[in-house]
Amino acid sequence: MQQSFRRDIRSLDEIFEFLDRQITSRSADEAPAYVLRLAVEELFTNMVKYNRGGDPEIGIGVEINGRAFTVTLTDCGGEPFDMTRAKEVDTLRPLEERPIGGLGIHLVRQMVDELRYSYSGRCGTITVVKYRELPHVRDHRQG
Amino acid sequence: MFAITVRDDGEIVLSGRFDASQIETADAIFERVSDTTRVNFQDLDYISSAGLGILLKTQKRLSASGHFLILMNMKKMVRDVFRIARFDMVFRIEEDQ
Repeated sequence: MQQSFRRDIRSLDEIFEFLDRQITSRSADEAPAYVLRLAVEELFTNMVKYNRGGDPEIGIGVEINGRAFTVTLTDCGGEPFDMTRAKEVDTLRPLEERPIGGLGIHLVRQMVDELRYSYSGRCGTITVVKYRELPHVRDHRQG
Repeated sequence: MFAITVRDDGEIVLSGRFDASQIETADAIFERVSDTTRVNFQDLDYISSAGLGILLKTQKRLSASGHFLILMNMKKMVRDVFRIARFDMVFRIEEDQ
């Protein structure tokens, strides 16, 4: 399922509704839905902030199979911009030295299982994968 | 839906989804904070780096005058985001108040 959203922070409400329709209804576990919302918000807002020459809309697609949730963000019309390779923030710095920016991509890297970037035909695509927790694994962990 | 309210005793109460589209709304409240202040997360379902940025900015400003934010009653996933950002080392976080 794929949908396009205006390149605007105010699109977030609509994006969350779209993700909830696709993901929340198909996962009893709260964690993957949270992680994918956060990943999409961080990546989408970076596209809005830093790739201003791009097309007026950004495409978001969701694919779900028995193994994983896969979300793609497709941003066309701009130059290659691979935010997945952005410099890692130092989260061990003391309060006074903590930068305000750069945290978003850190959270995404830490919380998703796969993160990939590709660029082709003037379109940059970021693919985010979050594995589904299989019921027997969850049962085992709960012990 | 995001909401931020200030109770009579000064405690800030957050609820709903604190995402990048809510920065201005939240900032308008947090920039008025000048003392040690409790922030209640009990009804907050979601926070991203945008919300963390507002809290960090406020904490930095307050620490210059010896004050700080006390963050209370986070739900599990919100708490996980703080832990992954290592904000649990920067903020005082209290459970079940």
